[in-house]
Amino acid sequence: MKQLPLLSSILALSLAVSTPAALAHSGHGDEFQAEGGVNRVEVNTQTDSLLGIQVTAIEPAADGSGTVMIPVTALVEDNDRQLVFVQYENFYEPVPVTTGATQGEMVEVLEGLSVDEQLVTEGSLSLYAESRKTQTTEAAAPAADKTHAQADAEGTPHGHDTEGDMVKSDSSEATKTAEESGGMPKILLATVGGGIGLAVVAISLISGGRKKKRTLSEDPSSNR
Amino acid sequence: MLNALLNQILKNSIAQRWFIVAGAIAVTIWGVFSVTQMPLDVFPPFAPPQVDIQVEVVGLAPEEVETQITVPIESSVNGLPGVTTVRSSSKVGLSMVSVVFDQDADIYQARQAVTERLQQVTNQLPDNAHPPEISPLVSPLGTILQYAFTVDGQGQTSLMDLRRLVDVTLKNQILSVPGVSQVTIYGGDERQEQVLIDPVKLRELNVSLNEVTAAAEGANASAPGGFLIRGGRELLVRGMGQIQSIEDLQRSVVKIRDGQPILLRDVARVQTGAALKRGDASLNGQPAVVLMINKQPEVDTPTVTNTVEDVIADLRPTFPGDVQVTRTFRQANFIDLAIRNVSGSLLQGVVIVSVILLLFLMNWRTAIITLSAIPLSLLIGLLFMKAFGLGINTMTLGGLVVAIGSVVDDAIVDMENCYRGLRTNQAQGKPKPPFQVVFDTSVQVRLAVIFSTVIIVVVFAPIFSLTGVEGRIFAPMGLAYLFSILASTLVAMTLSPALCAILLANQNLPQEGTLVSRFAERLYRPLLRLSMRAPQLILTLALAALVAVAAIVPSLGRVFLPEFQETSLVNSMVLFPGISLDITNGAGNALANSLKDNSLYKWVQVRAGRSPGDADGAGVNIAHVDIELSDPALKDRDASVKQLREAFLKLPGVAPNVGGFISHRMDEVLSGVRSAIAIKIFGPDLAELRSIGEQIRDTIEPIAGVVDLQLEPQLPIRQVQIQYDREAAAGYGLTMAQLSTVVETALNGRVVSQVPENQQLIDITVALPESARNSLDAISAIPLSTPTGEVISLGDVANVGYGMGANVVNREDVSRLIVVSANVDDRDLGSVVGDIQAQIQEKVQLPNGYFIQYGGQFEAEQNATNNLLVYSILAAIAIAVLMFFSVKSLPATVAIMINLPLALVGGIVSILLTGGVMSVASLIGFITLFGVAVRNGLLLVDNYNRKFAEGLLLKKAVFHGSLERVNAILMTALTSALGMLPLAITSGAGNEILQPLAIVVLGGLFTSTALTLLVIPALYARFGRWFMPKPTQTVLEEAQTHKSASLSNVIDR
Repeated sequence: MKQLPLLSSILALSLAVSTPAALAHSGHGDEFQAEGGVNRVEVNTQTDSLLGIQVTAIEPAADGSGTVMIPVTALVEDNDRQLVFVQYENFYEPVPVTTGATQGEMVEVLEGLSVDEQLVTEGSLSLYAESRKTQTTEAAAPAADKTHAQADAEGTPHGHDTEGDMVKSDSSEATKTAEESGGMPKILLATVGGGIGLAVVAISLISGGRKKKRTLSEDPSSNR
Repeated sequence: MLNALLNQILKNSIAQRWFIVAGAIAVTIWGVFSVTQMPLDVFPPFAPPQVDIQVEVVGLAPEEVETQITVPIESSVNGLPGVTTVRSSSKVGLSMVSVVFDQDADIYQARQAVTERLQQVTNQLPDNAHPPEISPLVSPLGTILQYAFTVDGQGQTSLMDLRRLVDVTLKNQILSVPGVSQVTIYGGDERQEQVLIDPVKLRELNVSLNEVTAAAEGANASAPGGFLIRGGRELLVRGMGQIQSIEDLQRSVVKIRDGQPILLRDVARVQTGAALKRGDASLNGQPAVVLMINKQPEVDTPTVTNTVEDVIADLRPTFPGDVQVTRTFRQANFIDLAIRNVSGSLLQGVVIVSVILLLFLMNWRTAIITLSAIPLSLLIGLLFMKAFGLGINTMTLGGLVVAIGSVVDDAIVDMENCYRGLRTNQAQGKPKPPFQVVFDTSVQVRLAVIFSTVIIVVVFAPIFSLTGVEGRIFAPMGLAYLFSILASTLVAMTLSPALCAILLANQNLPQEGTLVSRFAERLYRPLLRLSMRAPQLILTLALAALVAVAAIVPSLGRVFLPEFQETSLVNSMVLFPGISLDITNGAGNALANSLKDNSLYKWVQVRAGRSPGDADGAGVNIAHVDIELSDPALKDRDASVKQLREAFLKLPGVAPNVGGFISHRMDEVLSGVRSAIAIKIFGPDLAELRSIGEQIRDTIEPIAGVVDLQLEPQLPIRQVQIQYDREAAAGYGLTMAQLSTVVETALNGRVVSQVPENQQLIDITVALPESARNSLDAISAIPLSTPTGEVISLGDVANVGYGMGANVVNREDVSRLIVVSANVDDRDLGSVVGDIQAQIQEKVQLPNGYFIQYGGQFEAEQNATNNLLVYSILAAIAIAVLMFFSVKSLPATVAIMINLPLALVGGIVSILLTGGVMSVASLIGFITLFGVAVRNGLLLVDNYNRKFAEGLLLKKAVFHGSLERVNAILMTALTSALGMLPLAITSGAGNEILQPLAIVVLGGLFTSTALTLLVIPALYARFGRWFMPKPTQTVLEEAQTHKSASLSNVIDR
């Protein structure tokens, strides 16, 4: 029956301990991930120029051949492949390309592009980065309106872990209720703790004479 | 013995009542005086002692920074006494080493030790590295002010002049203000005298790059010429070789060719220009120079702020007319507002408490007795805090405000009993001396008062077992609360009886209760009857409510701390590594543009990249965006923040982190820890580490319960790599060192000398102009002079091409590492970690020199879990024992303890109604609740026991005992609850932490009180026989009372 002090401190524990993981986010090198797909990005005429995004039509080769030459700055390395972005209507679409020989600042594209396509010559890295943003950064955005992203996905599972763990560490008595739901172990544990508390009281009651109890009764107050 | 001591104190308090009152007044004055002396800050200091070392080397790649700078520094500071971790990060042109010390290490000693060790390595660092800098002593929340300097429209002042104005005029003045530890300047152009070599002319005239460098270096020299002593006089001799103007520099000779001197101007353009920028700033899209001022820890923020503001105001008239100064950040605003809000709530709380007391007592005397306890307890609490070195901040203030409702309780209980005792006494035929009545009644409730205080202390104890950042934040709050509560008990045992004796003892007290108290009793009587007649019904209802609430708890959201209602937002905006400063600036401008016409945001200040001395060490792809919310925005801060986040996310490739200043800084401090499980793989080779990391990731992926599995990303960035062809170089007689020197001078530029100008030293740099190095072809064409006198191109001896390289190299404990991190869901952490360890042991083969460490939150969690578990069990035992000795009956103890969970019910329901998010603040609310619930329960049971002792029958004892106490219980509950009403309904700065707490207390006390008043009588009615205390004990108690009665007789004499 001594649930409360226990329960409170368990709650305090699970909060205090679990949340830093959720608290500490972003700004420290995990905003972008190295892997994953690449998505198209919508054109935004107002901000694109400020972000250095420039689109130019691919010009035909000077010698009249079908060679496609693009500036090296247009290329983005995506792990083992190379990408460029091409504007189709209202979107910048990622296009994987195979490159050939480099001539100064221009590189020949063997496959993937053709003349007259609207190629993003500068700022393609920003477009690529849009797909590389980590899940947490994006997921945190809608979730965080209330509580500054602290309550995001990481926090809650954590709390459960802690409790689960605590139950485990007391498992000798707790196993019989293993089937109980995630929230129950707290109460269970509290009961166990309470039981111990009561037991101690009972023992002191039975074994100790009244004299002993009196000294005990004075102890806590003198501790103040 | 203790009893005797307490009796003595009580007796003296009553006998020397005027002395006590005078003492209380003295303490009040002393307390008020002390409060004005205590440093104000926004948060308690929460960062562990840490020393950050930064070394800047312009243009060096991360891998080279690591080997040439980071490793020597790391190995020199590693192994210092008290060091727990050495972390480092080698970035483009910047090495950052953090030395983290033990919690209890002395920061000054730590800095001293690090400085000593650093001296040994300074010589080993590369020539072009700046000397290592230890970041000044700044607390994480040390930024007190920011100013943005902009130039009006078509103003005359250039950004270079502006930068100089701020750098020269302001910086030194502000640094001299006591309490300021660091001034950082962002943006503007740093002036340089640039010697830009024309490669074509070099070829034509057959001049080598090194010769030009030497010429520029040799153009500026001044030397002492000793003294000329003649005729009894002494004259100082000066060689005046200093460059006076750009023309001087232009006319410097490079070499003689065909009898004609080749001057610097023949091969290079000499001009005044801006240095290469690694950081920039803007305000509302306009280029700006931003001044950031940090204070020393443990200095009063408002004082420093005001002094700095005075300095700026004094200097302002000396600025050119077109320079605009905008104050873009002022932490003291938040502190002022928070303190104003909290003191406002405090006053309102006091008013509400007074009104309640007046309603119940209809007597100004009683109101004075109880209300005097509030300021006195809080001030004594503050004095304790000062003695323990705690300052005033939102956490300690929070603790105090929470205590308002509770500190008055002890006094109420004491006064109420006194009042009733005196009234009954007067009504009796032969009244006892009133002072003795005061004494007796005080003794009656003393036990309940002391016990409830001790119980609150015990309930709080586990919070102090928290370590690390959490402990540092919450311990001050807990301490502030406990200090006030202890102080209130002290007051209730001294001042309250003394005031009772002065104000009540010899008064004619009205026999009838007041309107409200009679109404309360009238309302309570039928309910009490019902609960005694149908105890099963009441008990079932209570149990059902409890079960329902227990089912709700797991579904509540949780946060560490509620979001602070700051108007100043500090957002970080991270662009993909490899993005240039221009684009980062552009993104900032794009954001400023999109928010320009939005009335929710006052201004947008962007600090892109880094500035020397800046602890963030951000690359040029990172910007800090400071945004001030306007007053309308604060009305719905969440929506404004959300809108801002959306504006950020509209920019492609921009990853924002939106939040207030305080949360931003807390993130930075806590950033070392993020996942529950961190598997750290240490080893020398980055590629090998990566492959082991992938192996481990794949190994643990199938383990049940593992979520958010992530291998630390390494984002390679494109570089231009110049691969020297050793054979070809040998053919020309060129060494690698010669090549590297030329490449460095030509591309990165070299500072060759400095000229003084207006008391400031200005760098002279030698480099190729932008146009001669902005493409691979241009780089290949850089002319090189061979020892044979030939002029060749860099392309002849090197292959210039694109390659990929690391963006940053992170290290820990003197080794490179890669981290595989994961969280756990639906399974307990310990067993998952066990599985992971077993799986890795079995399946992953580590090469020599590689090893794995398991870290992350789970370590800390396991420690904290064990600690808290032990402490909680101890607390529970302690409480049970205390209770038992207070009521002297095991079943009665159980009855009171049953009362406690009921306090939860209302608290949780009110959380659910107000958003369903629980924070640590709510928990502290629950603790407050338990305190009141225990007190209520104790008061009832104590009274029953006294009735039993008087020989009343069980039913009668319970009935009368309950009725008698209903007013005291309602009063304490209502004052505790309604005293927090202002906190619960106002939101805003300073109340963030207190509001959720107040909501819990407000909601919880209503149910708790209602249930206490019904459930305990019901329990007694149902299981009455078991609750009766053993007769022997009753006798004992009577003996005690008797003894004290005889003691109290002394008082009247």
